[in-house]
Amino acid sequence: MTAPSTIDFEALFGASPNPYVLVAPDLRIEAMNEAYLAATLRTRDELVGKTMFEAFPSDPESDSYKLLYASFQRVLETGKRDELALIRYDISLPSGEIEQRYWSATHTPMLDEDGKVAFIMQHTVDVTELQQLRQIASEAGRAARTETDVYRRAHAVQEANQTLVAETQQLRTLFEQAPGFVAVLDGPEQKFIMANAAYRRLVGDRNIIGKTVSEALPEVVDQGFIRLLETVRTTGEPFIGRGVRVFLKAEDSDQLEERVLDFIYQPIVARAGETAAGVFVQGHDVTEQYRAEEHQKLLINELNHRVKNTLSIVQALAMQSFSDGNDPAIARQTFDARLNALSAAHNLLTLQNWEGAGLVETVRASVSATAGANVSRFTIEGPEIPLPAQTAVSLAMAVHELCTNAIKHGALSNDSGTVDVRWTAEDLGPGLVSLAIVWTENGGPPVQVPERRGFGTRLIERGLSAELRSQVTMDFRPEGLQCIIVAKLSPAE
Amino acid sequence: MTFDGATILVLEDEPIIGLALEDMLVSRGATVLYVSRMEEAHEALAQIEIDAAILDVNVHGRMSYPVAESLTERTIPFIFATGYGDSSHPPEFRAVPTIAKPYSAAELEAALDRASGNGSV
Repeated sequence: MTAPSTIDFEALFGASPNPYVLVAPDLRIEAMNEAYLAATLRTRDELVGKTMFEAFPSDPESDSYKLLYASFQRVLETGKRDELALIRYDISLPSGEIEQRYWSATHTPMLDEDGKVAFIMQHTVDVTELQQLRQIASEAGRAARTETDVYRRAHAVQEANQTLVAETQQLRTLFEQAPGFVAVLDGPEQKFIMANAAYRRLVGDRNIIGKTVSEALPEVVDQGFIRLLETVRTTGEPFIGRGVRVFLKAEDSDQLEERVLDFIYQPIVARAGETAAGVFVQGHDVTEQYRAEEHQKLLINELNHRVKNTLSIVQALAMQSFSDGNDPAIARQTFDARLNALSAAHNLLTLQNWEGAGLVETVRASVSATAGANVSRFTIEGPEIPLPAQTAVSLAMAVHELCTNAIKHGALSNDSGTVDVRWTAEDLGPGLVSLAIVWTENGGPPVQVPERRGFGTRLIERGLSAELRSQVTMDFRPEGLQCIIVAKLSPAE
Repeated sequence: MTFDGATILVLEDEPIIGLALEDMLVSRGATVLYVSRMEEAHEALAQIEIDAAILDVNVHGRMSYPVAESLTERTIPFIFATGYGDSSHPPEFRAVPTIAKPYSAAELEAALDRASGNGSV
């Protein structure tokens, strides 16, 4: 006999005494051989183009349906062969009667070039006879013992398989849904064989399974992780990393993003003394927590700075209030009033998280804090302009000093004087405003030009001009003081 | 360091603190050149002979190190005053005496003494 030069696989498939059927991933029947048609009592036309469950209907709630469906799904998910040692799957006879049948089936995936399942080949064996043998055995006793045992064993194996499959599925779900990231790396080449949803999210949902770490995540090569993994695998010593920075490619971008991770590299050792087969990676993305801590440190540092600055201002106010020659009781009052004005300005800033305060409210708050009920003798008018925090404090203190001066010597030192505070603003272009504030006192006692420039006057003249890049003129008119502040300032954002 | 007759540049963006510092120095016989912005500090250095300087580190959100550089070039003794307790200067200014706000007159004098090598300015 000479060997044929080419083997006709189609003919071989057709002529095989073993029943075979080929289904597509959507379980549509594509082809089958004669043995299959004979076993299922169907014609080719009845089957081709239908799905497995259309061709052989069964209740989706039945064990038969579930077992068969799950087996196909496992093949589609894993790309690996799946066996059903025993499955009851009744089929309808041409007469319309339903016949009880028992089958043993193997589902073998046929992969395409990309490694995806193109077809599933079912090899099915009708083992209904075993069932009948069992009945005979029960009648004939010992003679059929062997066959009964075979059946029992097959049944037990199938039950055990079902339990194992369910457990595996449960573990897989747990692994997949675990809040921390988990991956398994295999061998010296560090190939990803498993990675859960959190891990895939961490690496921007890249396709990493089956690839080595350096192929899957090229950006980490120079970040020391590959060497670290190799050390863990060869020494068998786990590595615990806390707050480790890693730069990973963001999804759909070449941009590197910094993440901060707590993680463990745990060597996978089958037996004590053996080299690790791979590395189990498990951890948490603590980037947000880390950033919150950094932000908190910044805030505390900033708070410290502000407290120190405020203490310096208080120190300066004390020095000015208690300077040589002042009556101690008056000095104390002056100091208290200044602290009060500073506190009022801080209240305003706190309302806006210390980002700044509005001009209108800054003037009003300072006037109210100093003049109390006399606030009704003020006219305050002008557009609202957001002021940076430091400027708001300086302006509040300047207004306080003007108020104090008015109460002591000016329009508020009698019962009828009034104070008019108004301002206009002119936009000088991006981020720069020209502001003209005019403080006019009327109806007070005749004004005398002070002999000595006190702290208040100096603060207004120099302090504000320093702070607001401005020019201040103090006009001690006999009918009342007029103070004009012309300032250029950058409003708060 | 004796203040009597010395001209001292004060760079401080908080006017109230600046005024108090000025008084502290003036009462010891110094003449004070008070500026609140870095540009003004540079202008002052270009025009006026000064004997020493006190620099606030953070001036309207910017670091005053460029002014410190000009002072170093002119070999004018200076000190830093800062509200940041843990501030760390660039290497070239690590040796510059630094006082933390709020500071006392004694601390200020001691720091200026160290800056000027204990001599009179």
